[in-house]
Amino acid sequence: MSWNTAKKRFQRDIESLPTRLREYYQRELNARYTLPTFEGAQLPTIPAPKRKTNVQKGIAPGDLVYITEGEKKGTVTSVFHYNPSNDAVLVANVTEKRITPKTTWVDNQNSHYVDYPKYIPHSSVKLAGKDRDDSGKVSYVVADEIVLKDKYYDDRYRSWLPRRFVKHHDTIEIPWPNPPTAFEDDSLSTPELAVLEKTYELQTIAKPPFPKAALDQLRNPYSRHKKRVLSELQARRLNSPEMPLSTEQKIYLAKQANKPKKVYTNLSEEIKDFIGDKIAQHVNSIKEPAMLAHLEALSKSTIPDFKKTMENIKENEKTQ
Amino acid sequence: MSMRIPVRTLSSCVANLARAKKLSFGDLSKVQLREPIVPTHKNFDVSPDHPLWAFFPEGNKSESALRGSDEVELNSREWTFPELRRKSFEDLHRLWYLTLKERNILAREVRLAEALRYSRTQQHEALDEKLVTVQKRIKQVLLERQVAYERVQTFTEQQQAYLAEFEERYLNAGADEIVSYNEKLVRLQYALFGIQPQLQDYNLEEDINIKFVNGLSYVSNLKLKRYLDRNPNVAKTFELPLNGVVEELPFLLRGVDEAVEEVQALRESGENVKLDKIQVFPFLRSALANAIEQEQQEFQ
Amino acid sequence: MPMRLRAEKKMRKHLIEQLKARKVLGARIAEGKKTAEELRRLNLAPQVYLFKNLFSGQVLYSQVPAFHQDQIDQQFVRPNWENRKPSRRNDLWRVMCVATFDNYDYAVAAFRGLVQLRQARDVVQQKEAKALRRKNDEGNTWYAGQYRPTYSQEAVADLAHVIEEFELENTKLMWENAWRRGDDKHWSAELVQHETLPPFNPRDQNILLDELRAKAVEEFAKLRETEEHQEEASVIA
Repeated sequence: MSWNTAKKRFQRDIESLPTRLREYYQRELNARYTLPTFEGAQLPTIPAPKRKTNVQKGIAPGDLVYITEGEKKGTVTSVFHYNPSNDAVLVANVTEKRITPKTTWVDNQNSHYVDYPKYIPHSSVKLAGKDRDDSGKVSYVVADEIVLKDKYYDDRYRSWLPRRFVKHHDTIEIPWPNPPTAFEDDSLSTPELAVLEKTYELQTIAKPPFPKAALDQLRNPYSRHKKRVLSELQARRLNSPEMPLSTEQKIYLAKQANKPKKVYTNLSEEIKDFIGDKIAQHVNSIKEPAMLAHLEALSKSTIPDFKKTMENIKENEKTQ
Repeated sequence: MSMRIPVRTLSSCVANLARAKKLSFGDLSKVQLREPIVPTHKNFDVSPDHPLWAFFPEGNKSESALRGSDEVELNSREWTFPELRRKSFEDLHRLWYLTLKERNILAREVRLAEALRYSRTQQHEALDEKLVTVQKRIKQVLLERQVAYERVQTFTEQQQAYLAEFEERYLNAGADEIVSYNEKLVRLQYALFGIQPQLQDYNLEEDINIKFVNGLSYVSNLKLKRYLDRNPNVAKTFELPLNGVVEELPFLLRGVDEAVEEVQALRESGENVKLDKIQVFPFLRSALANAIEQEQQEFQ
Repeated sequence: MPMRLRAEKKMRKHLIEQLKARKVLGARIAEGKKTAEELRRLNLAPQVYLFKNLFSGQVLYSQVPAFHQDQIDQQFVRPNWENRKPSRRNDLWRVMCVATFDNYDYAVAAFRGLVQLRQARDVVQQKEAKALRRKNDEGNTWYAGQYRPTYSQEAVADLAHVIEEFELENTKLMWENAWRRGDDKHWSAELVQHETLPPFNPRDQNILLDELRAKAVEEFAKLRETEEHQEEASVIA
């Protein structure tokens, strides 16, 4: 029911499991929830994405079919029901004797042991149609395969249906059968005239079609799927304010301001020579070749700050 | 427990006989205990129109509190989008509440089934799903209309183009077409600006807004222009443009000739003040209220 | 710790006594049993009040429009897991019925009768009483949580029993809910008149009961006056 919002989340999603596991769980569930009388070989379940409805498969209750496998091979009977999850068909004359509990008895049933309809796979039946000759002789036409083409509105089914043609014989159409139970109106149905009556006409674009105060009920203004923008006030409220400076910090900053600014300049030639001399002096005094090799390698290494410092110097020169 | 059997004392004046019946139970083991008296609902009446009956399928006449699986009706299908799009706001509103009441009935039954540990509620839940679909579709249709309305507000260029085209055709219309063009103008002023065709239909709180003012200015200028084109002698003396709502309103309420005269009278008397923005809506509301009152009196 | 002096011990004893005396175990007016004379003297009405417990469904009888621990002790003598001794929480006791009788003797007799029947059900004839109750699947008195509806039903039955047994004519029963009085076949129409309490906020229950008491006292006084007038007239005659 609608208040149970988490039902699907906490149930095992059988359809999304791999085939072996799915079969295992289905067997387990069947064992737990079916009566012993209904256990037994059940036809394999088809995963949900691959299932086809009656219309997609081209079979409907009330249709005539020709049974091609099993005991009743060669007979033509009518279909009771098509089960998409097993791709199985309930047919009039294929039954098996079963022990049924009293709760499932129909009227006039006196015995527990009764003929119960049995599902047969759709592959073991072929669609058939009745053909009336000019002389009035009735014969059956069995279609190996069907093709669904065109589209027409069927008043009996109150919907748009495709036509069924025998494959490779496009002129032979097998029409849809009469639905077994006519659709009856019940207390919740609306009569056709009331439904088709047009009471809405767009007359003005100056007036909103929906009361403005109730617009929040149509749209969720707090939906997480919408791009949510903060107003300036909200942004200001959500971000922390700046901490005011303490007296010590102010004193420090004042002192920093008074200090002379650090200026990057190139070394003068004199200093460069001085440093060069000193290094040369040291390097020339070294005799060990290993030490020399090490110093060579060391001289090739670069300091990351060097680049930055050179850029600062360049900038400084530019400004000057 | 005292074994003394109290007897009602005789009043000195009243000649009441001593009561034969005792006023205390004797041996408690010999007292015949009575069965507990079960409360019954027959002691009070419940109106057949009590609002809580709305939670039952047949209301007052419901036979059971919980319908079985075969009693839940699943023969009908949901309303489709084309069918819902045909319906006005009031009809959709009605349909929403009808589905809501049905869902309430189903919800009560499912909740009751939960309490009774009765789990065969698949038919109820199937019907509830259908009703939820209908409700979602109603919401979707309303939202479509609202979104269309909001989008159309941004089509200002197209609206201006249409208004300009209409203006051209109106000004160039011949005498035989002018009647139909006036009718079209009435429809146009309602369609684009929300100006009601009939004075009695005005909702002064909601209808008087910026669109109304724009529409008023458009309509009055259009009518005046056509009049001045046809009557050049008046055009010489008449000063364009119309100065504010005070001068534009007569063109909406009366015929063009009368309106022109009225405007000229206003100009002469000096009452054609150009109102401040804040005064425009109150002025329109009061002026239209007066006009509506006058019309009602005329009818009477 | 210094030794307690005699005066200290005496003061302590006195304090404990005071605390015990001041301990509130319910409305003081409801303390102890009351005879007809006492009821009349205390300006109470010839009434019996039935209170139902919202938590357990048990019923408490009282001669005054209030209740005290004494009454709970008097009426719930054999507690067991199904019939626990209820607490004195005043928010859980709601008025179920106010029975106004013809005179004070009848009222006292009715109260005593009800208490005796309660004794019979709880002590003397426990098995018979349990047999009459509605059971759940396990054979225990039907319950939902700690609530047992049989207790209030039994109290109503006992009230009918007492009225019929003692033939207390001119009884007026004011029910908090007419539904509770059950089928009319249990009540004798000549002895009993049924009414409903006016709709009230449970917060104002005590005020309502007090007003009912005052009204009944007034009516009783008027009745006695008219009777006395009649007597005088008959005497004179």
